[in-house]
Amino acid sequence: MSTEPQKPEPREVLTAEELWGQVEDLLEIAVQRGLEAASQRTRPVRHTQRVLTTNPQVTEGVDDFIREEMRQLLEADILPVGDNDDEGMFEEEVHREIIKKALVSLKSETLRNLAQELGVDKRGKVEHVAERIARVYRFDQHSIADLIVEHADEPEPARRFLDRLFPIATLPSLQSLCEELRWAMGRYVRVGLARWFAIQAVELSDSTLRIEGMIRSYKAFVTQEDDKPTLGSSVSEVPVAVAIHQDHRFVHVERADASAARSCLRALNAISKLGYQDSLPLPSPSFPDDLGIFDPHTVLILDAIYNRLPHADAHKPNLTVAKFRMQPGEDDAQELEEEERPSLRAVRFEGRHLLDSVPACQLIALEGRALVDLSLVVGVDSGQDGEEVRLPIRLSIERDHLAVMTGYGLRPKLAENFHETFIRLLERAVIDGVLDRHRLGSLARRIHSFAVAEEPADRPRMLEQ
Amino acid sequence: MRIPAHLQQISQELALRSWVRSSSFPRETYFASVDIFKARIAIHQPDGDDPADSYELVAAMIGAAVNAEGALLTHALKNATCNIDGPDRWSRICLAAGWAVLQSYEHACNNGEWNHEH
Repeated sequence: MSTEPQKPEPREVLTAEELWGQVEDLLEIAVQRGLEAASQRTRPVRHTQRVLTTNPQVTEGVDDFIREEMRQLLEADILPVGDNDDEGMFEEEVHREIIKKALVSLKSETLRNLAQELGVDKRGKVEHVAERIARVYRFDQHSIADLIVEHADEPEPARRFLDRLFPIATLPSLQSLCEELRWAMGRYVRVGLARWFAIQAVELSDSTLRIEGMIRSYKAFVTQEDDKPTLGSSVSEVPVAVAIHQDHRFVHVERADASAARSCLRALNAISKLGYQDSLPLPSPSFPDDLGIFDPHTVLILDAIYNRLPHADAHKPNLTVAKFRMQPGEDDAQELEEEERPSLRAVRFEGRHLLDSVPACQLIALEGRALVDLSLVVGVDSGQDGEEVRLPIRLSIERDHLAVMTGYGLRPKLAENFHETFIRLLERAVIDGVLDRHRLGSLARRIHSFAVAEEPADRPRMLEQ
Repeated sequence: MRIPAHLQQISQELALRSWVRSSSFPRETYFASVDIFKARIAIHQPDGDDPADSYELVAAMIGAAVNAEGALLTHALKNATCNIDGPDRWSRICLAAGWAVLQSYEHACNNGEWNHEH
């Protein structure tokens, strides 16, 4: 008679009780085999050395630990169906799934590199890779949160500083600006179709004018009421905070999206003649060398990350996302769309050390495309024992402003200080142009030779010097 | 196949590979156990599309067997530098031992020193 266990029909769905039954089955076999191994031992057990332990019951609970480990592993291949009455089991499953979902918010490549670092298998679906990583951390939400923060390639919307820098034509007198804006407090200024801006607070202190307001906009739609179509609307309100610093030619709009920020600027400009410019005045000197081919947007971004970042104590930039505009400008693109011609408006690259990629260098140096959006991770000196904190940042050149985002990383205060410094450096970049012409020229030469090279880089070195 | 990085330090601290290679280690019983565990896992994982998960499951089962056997604690006591500060730590030690046994099993299979006909 065969002792081989009968193989049941494959099932994709099991009840949670069946899953636990399988785990118990496997654990029982394992324990039996362990006891059999004990009987095979040839030497007696001798306790001859010291062991440091704060808990004499160390070996208790091991079965629970391994039971849980085995359940999670089995669960990776089947779908357990929990009992409605067992809320605890469902909550635990929800907890694990949320942790996995949070992990897959990291880029696939990042997740797989992380798995490799942890020594678990990096192959297969990202969901499975996330599961393996989560198991290493025993599904501990704080450890996983730290892990995500440390490895995020772009600033997360909920954990970032965001400033939009709008250049203004003249240096305003903050005192008179304050008086003008206070006149309009509590009133609504229409800034678009079914869209208003209201100033709620104006405060002048420490050479900074701070304005708080609200964008109120309405969506309109057709709905059904008593068998008749009728119009309905829903309102949304977005708070906006603005700062104007003494002797600065930029208005800072904090935490708002581009559309809300523009609406706010238009309203402030209507009230106070702020000098809002609807296009960003980029410096565009004529360079005689390789830099001359580069688009002014690209020159501004390269100047920011190569010449100016070190002045904010940031090092080792790793470019993870780069977006190139493929059409000369938004208006031109719009015209093309009106002609209903197929058009490619932008190209987005994702990866690591993007400036060391041949296609990116070709777009910059051979085609002269505009690099308009860049995400990168930098190391910033923490000032404590040479410790370096990793911060994700994003720099975007919009039609009429610069957007700067800095993720909190593991040290939000440090990130805030870096963010403030980097903003000041960017303002100078727009006003003064290239900081170190010679240094940027050498980078331009490397980018150009890379663009025509036949072999890709074996390691990232473009931004080393 | 290699021991996951988060268990490698434990494995080195306790010289688990040497422990598995020692003459007193019931090698054949454990290798036969690995074959049994694999067969049982195949029943519960009919797809078997991810061998990495099977490895982890086998390692966990060997960890449970090692804990039940009791000899690993003796080995840990002989390694005076080992600090076992709770069940969680001890469980990881058992898991690391499971991986060490599995690694040795794979090595023996690849060298023709072991096959499931045993």
